[in-house]
This record gives sequence, C-alpha cells and structure tokens, in this order.
Amino acid sequence: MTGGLTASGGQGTPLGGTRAGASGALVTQLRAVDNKSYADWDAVYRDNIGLVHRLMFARVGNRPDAEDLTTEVFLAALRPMRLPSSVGEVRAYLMATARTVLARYWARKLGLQVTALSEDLEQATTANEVGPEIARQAHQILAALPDRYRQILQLRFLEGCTVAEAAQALGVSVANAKVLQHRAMRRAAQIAAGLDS
Amino acid sequence: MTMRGINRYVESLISSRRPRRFRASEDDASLARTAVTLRAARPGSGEPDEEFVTALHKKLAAELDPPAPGQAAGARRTFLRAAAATGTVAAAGAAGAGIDHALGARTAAPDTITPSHGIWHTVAASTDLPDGAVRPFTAGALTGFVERAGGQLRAVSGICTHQGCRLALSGRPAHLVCPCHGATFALDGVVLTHKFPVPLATLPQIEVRETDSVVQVYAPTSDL
Repeated sequence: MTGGLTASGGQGTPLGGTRAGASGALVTQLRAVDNKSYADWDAVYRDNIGLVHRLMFARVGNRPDAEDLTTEVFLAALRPMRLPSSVGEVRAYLMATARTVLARYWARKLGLQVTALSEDLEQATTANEVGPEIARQAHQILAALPDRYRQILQLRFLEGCTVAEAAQALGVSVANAKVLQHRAMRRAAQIAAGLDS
Repeated sequence: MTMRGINRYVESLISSRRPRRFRASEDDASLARTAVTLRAARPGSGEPDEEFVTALHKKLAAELDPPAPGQAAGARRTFLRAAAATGTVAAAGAAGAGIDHALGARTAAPDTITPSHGIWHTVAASTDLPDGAVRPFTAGALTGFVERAGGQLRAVSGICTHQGCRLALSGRPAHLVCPCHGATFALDGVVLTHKFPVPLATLPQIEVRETDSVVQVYAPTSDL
C-alpha cells in the first residue's frame, strides 16, 4: 500500500544527488515537483476546486449541475483520503471519483450510459488546461461544419444569442433559424462522433 | 417525444439553466454531448463561482473537521481566499501515506463476529441445508446467510458494509445483492462489484457449527 510513495521518495534523493553538481537550481526544482504533496484536505481542496469544477462544467455544460457534481466529488473523495499524499495520487483519485459521479449523473439525466469522462480531459492535470482543451474540441467540430451551420451554432452556443437574435444576424426567420440549428446540431454530433473514434 | 426532450435540453444549456432529465435515445445522447462541448467552450464559462467555492469549503469543514474549539471557521475562510491557484503544498517526506482506492489496496482479512455475550442459535435443520444450499437467517441481533459448499459450512453477515442495507440472495451462482446501491458480495463475504470510489469492506463471517442434526450460528443472546 505504501509502495507508490516509497518508490517516488526513493527516486528523489538519487536524482538530486546525481544532478547536484550540474545545476543547483534545477535540482531544487526537481525536488520540489517530486516531493509535492498535500498535507490536509484544505490544501487538496484549494488546489483542485478549480480543476474539478472546470472538468465538471466541460462535461455537463451548465453551472447548477457542475456545482452539484463538484460538491459530490469532494464530499465522496476527501473523507477516505489519507494525507499527506502526493499530488499525483490525489488527482488520480479525484478523477476516479469524478468518473463515477458523472456516470451516475448521465444515467439519471438521460437514462442511459454515456462515456463519462473521456481521456482528453482526464489528462488535463491543471485547471488551466481544461479550458483550452474543450475550446479546441469545439472548434474542431465547428471547423468541419458548412458555413451556415457553423454560424448558427457559434451565435447560439458561444455567444449566447437567443434564437431571435441569431435569426436576425443570419437574415432568416425564427422558424428557419430553429430548423437550421437542429440540422446543424445533428451534423455536429456526427462530426464529434467521428472525431472520437 | 425524445425530440422535445433533447431540444429542451439544448436550449437549457444555451441559456445557462439546469437541463431537465429526459429519456434519451442513443442519438439524443450524442447530440447532448456535443451540445455540452459547444456550450463549455463559451469563454470563461467553467470558472467556479467564488461564492460556491466558499460555501462548499464551509460544508466540507463541517463534515471533515472534528469540532475543535481552537479551529475557527473564520480563519480557515480567510486562508482560503488568500490561497493562490498554485496552492500551498507541504513537503512530503512522509512515507506510508496513501489512498486505499488509488493504490488498489483492500481491507484486511474478513472479521468474524464475536459477540461478548453469545449463544448458539439454531438456524436450520441439517436436512434443510444439503450441499450447495444457502439459507437466510436471523439469530439474535444478527442477520445473515448460511451456506454448505463442498461439505463445509459457512455463515456471513447479511448487512451491506456500505450503509447497512439488508442484502438479498440472488442469481446463479448465488450471491448477495444490496438493494440500496447495487453492491454485490460472494457468499464467502468477498466484494464482487460495487460502484463506489472507495473500497468496500468484506462481509464479516459468523461462527457456524453443526450438532445433533441442526445448524447453529454463534450470535448475541436475543434478550440482552
């Protein structure tokens, strides 16, 4: 059970020793990364609340649900944690918990199994990586769409326009905008499925 | 019907509301997922709300911190606000730390229930428990299942180690299922499946013997 940490602790010292002559600053840095750990739940929370919330938002797309799920993850994950533990272990555990929580959410919300947390985001280890990754995915989908489809989805999802506003921007009737959006969504879903596989 | 469900779902996301649940088809689900991706890409939308961060911290403190007079909630909150995104990370050093789940560790050997004031309760006639049979029983304060397999008797607690729901006998080969969250256990008490992010304890064993053509378990005296 202590294998993981003993191993990483064991690596730290020899690594520091061999590089000591080469560059003192580098060694200090490496040691800092190697030894990074959380002393208590408070530290775990402060350092990961942003990451977990952004991941949840990226997976459910709305704030009320993202907040509920973030709460669920921390409530479930923090109690059984034995601290201090390394940052890597804690994050792996938070991700595992997030996966379970999301699977339950989708089963509840849509009544079926949905791939809860795909690897792309799971590999994001800092909060700052989640935003760019999800933006990249969205733009990849949008870029593959015909112009009109891309425009309506951009107006509605990224700019938050109402149907009426989007219709006006595109110079079509509201009814036409709805149809356009619907078709665009279907195409986007096909493209997304293609990108996944 | 599903058409309306998915449309409403998409409109909720666009207008930043909580989407309602609906029974989705496979197509709906992939559409919903795409809508989530597009919506999540709206600049700045994944940022946690500061009020939420503070409120959750308070809730967690209430759950996790033992009530100690020296630990003022106010001090913690200030600490939280002051903390940068990088956070405070203490030097580790301490070996022996770890997380059960992450490291795949399991709880120690199964316990046997040993009541301080126990007696042998008869739970079945020997003839009612042929080889391969399983019977539920209640004896004193204990609820469990007794099994004869390969000529050996074995009894385990029938209470789920997660939250204490009473297990049900099910399936072929027979196993125990928790009606609350669906955890399953083998008849020797070992956890078969569960969907919790933390390890689930093995079911405790109950002492069992066969004497004078009856099967008995050692359980608390019922009228203590």
